[in-house]
Amino acid sequence: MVVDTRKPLIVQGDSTVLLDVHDAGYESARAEIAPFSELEKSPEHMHTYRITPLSLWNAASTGLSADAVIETLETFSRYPIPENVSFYIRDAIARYGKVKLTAVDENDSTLLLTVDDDSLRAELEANKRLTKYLLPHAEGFLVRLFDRGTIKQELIRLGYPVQDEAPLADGERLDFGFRNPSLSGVSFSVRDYQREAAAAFLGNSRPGTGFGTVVLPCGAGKTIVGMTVMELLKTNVLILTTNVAAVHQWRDELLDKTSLPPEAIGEYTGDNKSIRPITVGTYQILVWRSKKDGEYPHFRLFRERGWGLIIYDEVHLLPAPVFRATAELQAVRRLGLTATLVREDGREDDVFSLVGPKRYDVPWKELEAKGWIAEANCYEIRVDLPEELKIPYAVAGKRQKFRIASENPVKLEIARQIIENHPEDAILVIGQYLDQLYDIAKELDAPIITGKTPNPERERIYGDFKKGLIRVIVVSKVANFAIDLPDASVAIQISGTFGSRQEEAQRLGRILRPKKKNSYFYSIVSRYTTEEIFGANRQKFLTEQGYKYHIELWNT
Amino acid sequence: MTTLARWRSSLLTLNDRAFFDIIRNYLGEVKTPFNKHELIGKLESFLVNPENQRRILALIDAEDAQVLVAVDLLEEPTYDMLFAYLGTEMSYVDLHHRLLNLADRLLISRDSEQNTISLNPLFHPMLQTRLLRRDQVFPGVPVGSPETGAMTAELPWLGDALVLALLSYLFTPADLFKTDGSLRKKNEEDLKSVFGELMQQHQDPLRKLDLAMKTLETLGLVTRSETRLIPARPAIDALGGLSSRERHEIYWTAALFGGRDQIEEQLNFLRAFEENLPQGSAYPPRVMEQLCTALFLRTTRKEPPDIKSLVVRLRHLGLLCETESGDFVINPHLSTSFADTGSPGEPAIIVQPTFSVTIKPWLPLASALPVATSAEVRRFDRFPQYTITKASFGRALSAGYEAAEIALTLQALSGKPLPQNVAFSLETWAAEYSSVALYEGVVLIADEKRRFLVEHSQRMKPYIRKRLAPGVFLLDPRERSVWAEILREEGLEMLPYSAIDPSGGVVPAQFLAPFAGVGKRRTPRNLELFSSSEPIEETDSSVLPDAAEIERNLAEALDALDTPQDKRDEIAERIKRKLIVHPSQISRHITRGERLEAKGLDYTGKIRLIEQVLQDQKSEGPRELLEIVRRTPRGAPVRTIMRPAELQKAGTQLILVGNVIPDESEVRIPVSKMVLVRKLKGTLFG
Repeated sequence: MVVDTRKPLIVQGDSTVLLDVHDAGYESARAEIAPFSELEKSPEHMHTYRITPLSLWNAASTGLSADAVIETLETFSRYPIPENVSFYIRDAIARYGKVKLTAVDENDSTLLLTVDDDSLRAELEANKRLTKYLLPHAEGFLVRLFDRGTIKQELIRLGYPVQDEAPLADGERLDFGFRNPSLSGVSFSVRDYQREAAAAFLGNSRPGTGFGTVVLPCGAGKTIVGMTVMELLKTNVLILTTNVAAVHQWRDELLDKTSLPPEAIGEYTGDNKSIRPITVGTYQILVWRSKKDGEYPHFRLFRERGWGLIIYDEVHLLPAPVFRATAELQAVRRLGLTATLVREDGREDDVFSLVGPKRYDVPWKELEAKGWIAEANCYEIRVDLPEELKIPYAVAGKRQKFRIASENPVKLEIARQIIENHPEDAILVIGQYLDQLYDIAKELDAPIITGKTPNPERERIYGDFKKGLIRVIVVSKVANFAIDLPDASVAIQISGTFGSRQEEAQRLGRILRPKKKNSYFYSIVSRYTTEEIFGANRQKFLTEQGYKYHIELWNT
Repeated sequence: MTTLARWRSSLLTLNDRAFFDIIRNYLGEVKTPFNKHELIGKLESFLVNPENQRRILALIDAEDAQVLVAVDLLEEPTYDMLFAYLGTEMSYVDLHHRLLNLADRLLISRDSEQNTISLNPLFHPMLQTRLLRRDQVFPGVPVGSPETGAMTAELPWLGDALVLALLSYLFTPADLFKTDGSLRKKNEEDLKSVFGELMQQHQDPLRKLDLAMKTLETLGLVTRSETRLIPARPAIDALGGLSSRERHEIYWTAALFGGRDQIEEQLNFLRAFEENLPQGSAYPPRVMEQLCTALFLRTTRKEPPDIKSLVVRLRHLGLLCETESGDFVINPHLSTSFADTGSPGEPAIIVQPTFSVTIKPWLPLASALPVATSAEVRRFDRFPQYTITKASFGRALSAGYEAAEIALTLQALSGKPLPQNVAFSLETWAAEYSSVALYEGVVLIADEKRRFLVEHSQRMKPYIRKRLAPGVFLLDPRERSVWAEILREEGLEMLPYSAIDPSGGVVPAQFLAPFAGVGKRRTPRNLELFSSSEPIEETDSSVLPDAAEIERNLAEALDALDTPQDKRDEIAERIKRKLIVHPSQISRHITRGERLEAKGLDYTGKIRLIEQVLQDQKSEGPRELLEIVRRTPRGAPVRTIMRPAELQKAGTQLILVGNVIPDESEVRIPVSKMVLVRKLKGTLFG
């Protein structure tokens, strides 16, 4: 066993890979292992990557062999690769490509599923769940075009990802290009990594390319990557995103940075259902139905035009029913955009099967180093409960305790102090309890956005905020998803539970937009209360993302 | 005393009859006056004569060689050791005969005081080059050659890193086992997620984690209550005081043999194993078993355990590796396990703002203990991962570590200031810990009149944990016996001591210095099992004559001798038994008549032989034994070698009572049932 301590990787027996950030070989090792592993944690000194079947299949889909993966690990590894890990890599990669989907002929409505292994073929033939989708054929199985997605879903569950090489439809043509400067007069160009991401997605336009997912951190300009793909394909595009504000953001960006006229862009939301060559809709409207077990009437949107591309924004939030619709749309190019492949519901394999494998990934640290996203500083400020609340807190029930801690009135004083300390910054004050938020908004003389704020009012406030007419806005927890606040550089969380990892990532994303100065994320927590537990979770999440986290005591 | 001097001295201490029998056999008739020293000198000259040496060597057959090799390998072994080593190759009776014969041929000699056997130093150089070369005795094949195929070797899994991880897991007080002794399901799952591959089931031996836990228990690093394993700090600290090499050797030895009673001798075996097995040589399992038997006997001088299973355990522990061909090789990385520093400037631990702590596997137990105590193990792997939590930090404080000490240790080992959020949290937790205290102890209440006896006693001071109120003291329960004695001496003679639970919290004395004497490296004997001796270069003069040719040559000389038939038979017997190697030895003067066996209907002869041997038991020096042959009801012969004790009369029958060799069980054999009685002498000339 040769040990070379000058190397940056430690491959563990559970297929995690530790990467020593302080090693001279860090940068190159990081770049080399990224294609076949998922970054799990990136704290200050040692990053953790995980090699999973999906990460290996993602790698295999780009043509990476098991030998190449193992060789990369060996090149950078301090210790020999554990035998079980080498076996695991070989086994997983060997499964990719064993099953392939190809066209029988150009106009046929069936596809051919070939199986590169007799025993596997027999296994598939005997599998009861598959018999209704597979028709035995001399060269494998025939699959109806309609079942293309379903069969891919079923096979990945069996541990055999399908290499989909059936051709994709081109869709109706739509000519447009980018503007420079943009309509708002700002110089605009697509950044290198955004162009690379688009090129990685499109590949060589041969079978097996044109579907997949691009992973970029919040604030890195995933919208621009989508627009670049659109511009290269010049076709009708359906864009699906998480909410109305995000729909408007897409529309505004398209109008600002491309030659598309307003009438070419449709909006498909609860309020407006216009279908145009470029249509931006919400997942929410797509999965609406009048009865719990009824049909989804808006799924017809997928068939309304000859879409040449569907963009799934924040693909990790794609609702389960949309997967079903997507399974039937496998002949259309599909682009997933996300900051993380991790889904709370664990359906990462559906993203792989139905939207497509990861085609491009760049960690936020690299973008931060190049100045494309802001450097964020995280502070937790702990403050004692005032004397008059200590006894009520001590005798309160569990939920009430949390509320008393959250609504600690001293937090207002701290928020005010922080705002004073950031006279040049655009500031978001985020909280959970409306009473508290209204009080704070009143005290700070700042506008408030809650879930009840009507869209026009909300957009007016956003507009003023972007223009710098207002410097502080108070937002409720429900309002801080998928809204775009380009100039926010300070966030002050005054109350609220630690949400899911996704929610926290989104929240953090609000202040990570590229700016000339650093960003600050403050959490104000009542000391010696249950609030500290949520603070600890947030602390864990942020430090795992690589942010420095400072804790300070507020002297009352 | 040199080995040659010892050999000479052993001849001088023989009784005259035996001494002159030897001299006559090799040198012919002894004329008076004689000088014993001169005669020994002449015997030496005879034995070192190159031609005689070549003849003696040529007459060594395969079984002789097996025994000589064993004597050399085991370094002055006892009979029992030799039998333990050769027991699978030859019966005890055969071995006994073979040893007698080799002694008669002066190839070996016996130390009657020590009851050991050694090679005759006069033959040693010759035997060394021709017979005893270890690469011939234990033929190995280079690893990586076509015969063995490739081999992968990992560091042995049982070491400081695993011990620490396990202790860290066990520091959290929780029931681990069900009442039937099996792991609780929750812990089984927990342990699987933390220790992964070490929890994989094995039929035999134990799965690795079970073996590791058993090892901790064996070494007293943890004690077992009904459902828990409780770390024993004094024992852990004592072990931590040893060097890394010593600690690892102790872990491995305890895991191999599963006990602590004989750990010192067993450690010698392990050290000999580490130091003697040639690196890069692969041995078939059977040869490896022989090697381990030899090493065990040589180093412990005790009966070896089941060697097959010992070899399996060596493999299981990763001290032996296996080639593709199934041969065994000593793990080439054993010494890497003993490293207790990384590369220059490399920090021993990594503390992240996430509160995760990576402890490098080479960090020694004592240094890593405060870290592993104050953090929870999350994943045991090549680089074990821990996390500092409020609970784990609290348990470290409860274990007696100071908060500042932990923070300083973390900082010193990581080589960097602690991340601000971690340092802040430790400080906050420490403040919280000290703001609410839970003490365990014995409360002493002394009334106003007697209070001063406690309060002003300097000797009591270290045992008072807290003054709870005037005259109310919390005493350290672990030191009960000490402070109780002090209080008595200070004047509190009526201390209601019986009210105190005498069992709680006392550290058993054996844990205070459990490894005293164990850690020091001892090499009581020469452990150089694989001493380097160059293969002999064959020259004309070194070519051995043909054994059959020698025997023919001797037979011709005997034919030419004019001597009575009984003498002729005796000489012929000596030729057959290879006591005569050169024609110059063939002379009517070399023998004296002595009856050695009686058989058939010669009842009186049998009684006489038995009585002679019984008489011999009273004398000093090597004792004679009896070989008795009986027949089963079906007529099959049964041979017994015994040390006779007495002849008993039972009715008309005489019954021989004695002890069977080697197991010393008592046996009673009617003389009438004996078909053969043979006297087995210490040596032919004894």
